[in-house]
Amino acid sequence: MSETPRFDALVIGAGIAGLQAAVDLADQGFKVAIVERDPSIGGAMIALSKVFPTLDCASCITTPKMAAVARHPNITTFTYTEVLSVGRAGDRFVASVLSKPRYVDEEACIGCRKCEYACPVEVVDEFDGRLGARRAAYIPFTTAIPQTALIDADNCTLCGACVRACPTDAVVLDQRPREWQLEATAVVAATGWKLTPVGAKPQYGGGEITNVLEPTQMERLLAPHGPYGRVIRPSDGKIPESVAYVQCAGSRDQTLGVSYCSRVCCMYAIKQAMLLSGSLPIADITIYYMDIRAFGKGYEEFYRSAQAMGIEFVKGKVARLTENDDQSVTVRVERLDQFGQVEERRHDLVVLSLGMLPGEDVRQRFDLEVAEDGFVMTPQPKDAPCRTTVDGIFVAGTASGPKDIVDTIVEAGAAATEASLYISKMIAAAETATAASSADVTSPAADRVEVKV
Amino acid sequence: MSPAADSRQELKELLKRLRAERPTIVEAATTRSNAQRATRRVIKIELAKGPATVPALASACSLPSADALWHIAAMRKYGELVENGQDGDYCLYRLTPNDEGSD
Repeated sequence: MSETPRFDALVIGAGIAGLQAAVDLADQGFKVAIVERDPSIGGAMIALSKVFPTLDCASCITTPKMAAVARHPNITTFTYTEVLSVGRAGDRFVASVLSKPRYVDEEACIGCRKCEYACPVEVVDEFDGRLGARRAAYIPFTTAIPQTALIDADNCTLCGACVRACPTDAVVLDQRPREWQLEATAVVAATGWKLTPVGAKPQYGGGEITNVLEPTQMERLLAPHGPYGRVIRPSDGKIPESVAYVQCAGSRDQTLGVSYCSRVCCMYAIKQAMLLSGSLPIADITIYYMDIRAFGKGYEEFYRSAQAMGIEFVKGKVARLTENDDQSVTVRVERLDQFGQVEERRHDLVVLSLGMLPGEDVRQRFDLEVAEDGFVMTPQPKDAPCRTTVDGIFVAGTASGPKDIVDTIVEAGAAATEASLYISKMIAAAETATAASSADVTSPAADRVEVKV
Repeated sequence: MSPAADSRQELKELLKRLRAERPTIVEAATTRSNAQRATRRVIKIELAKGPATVPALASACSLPSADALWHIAAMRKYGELVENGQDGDYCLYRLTPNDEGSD
């Protein structure tokens, strides 16, 4: 690309918020660039098993949106590309971006996976919650968009097997990173979230107990194409007879610097517990909680259904998790519903209901201000919740604070509307300026007007 | 030289150049890969004797059971083994026909 490509809008992040905002803007006729740092679009949602409270398949909702973005004539998608900075240049924004090398020619790759099957190196698969494996040459997941392979240079032995296996000569082992720029009238930051660290609380094992899982790992265990094809313990493959959830394991905790409620943990724990009841019909499922916050439409009914299904809700504070010799986990809990009585119970598997942190610190790259909680500051949270401290940059989804998928999609639509109004205003202003300037310079009519005045 | 031979020679030279550019990364990756292949060979030899659970396999191969499960997950993903019923609380795994007796 020799000239700086120009777009009406730049959407940063191709999770569900970014996808929705991009489609909504593109459907109004605006040219949109969507930039995603991962090799595929889809974000965190594509790795989920099902969604609450409807228990719809997460992939069935995300995949059509991914396809809509990939095929939309007004959207240009840049994957495996990071936005390094966004700065203002006159009435536009200029973004510096870095396209990381895939070591595969995106145009030539046909997604046949022959390189992946030929690759002799297997490594831990991040997409499967670090429970499964992938090859050093790989396509990130079955429904990845684009279906383009990439090569993990940090684990590549340079054996050349992928080059020899590729039927289209797409492997380019000497590809280099490329830094370039693009221009946009408006920006939508949909930079997402990440989990609070599993090892943050030493009393919960500090991330060292194999059978204490992150909720995203349980999502993969429950997913149809998960790492083991069923729910088993990562320590030894045992089919669990007892699974527990520890609520507020990463939120509402001043010691972790996360004083806020992450809003989704109660509901994802209930959802996973219901799914586990289906996949492990004879297992005992327990949720240790302080409060259940079922605030959305249909959420309270969902909670009641879980209780009716036999999921045990224990109101209490979990003080400690310890690993036993048989790799089960003992939960020490102070029962708030039994006058503070302390109990110890063994479970085969424990899931920590971790909270949400900002996906990235937007201060340095995008010059946006953040609130006390680290999420993007929205100075008008009531009447314009998608506006940021920079005119022309809007925020969508969990970049501005913890929220569920429903609220994320609603907010992405709102951000797209705000951005479209801003773009239209800028286009109108530019046209007026152009008209005025051409009238000043060339128009005989303008001369006549001036004479009259 | 034929075009195919030219291409083979070009690839050989490219790989040599890239290995010289990042020797530490390539050496570390090669060491890990060799160790992994050796473990995989032992697992396949054990599974060729018949279906096994993760703890049984781990014990026979002197591996931590979590590591044995990771190898099982990898082999399952790439079609080298399948589930074959249960033994108590554990699934049994067996090699797929193509992999029986290999390595």
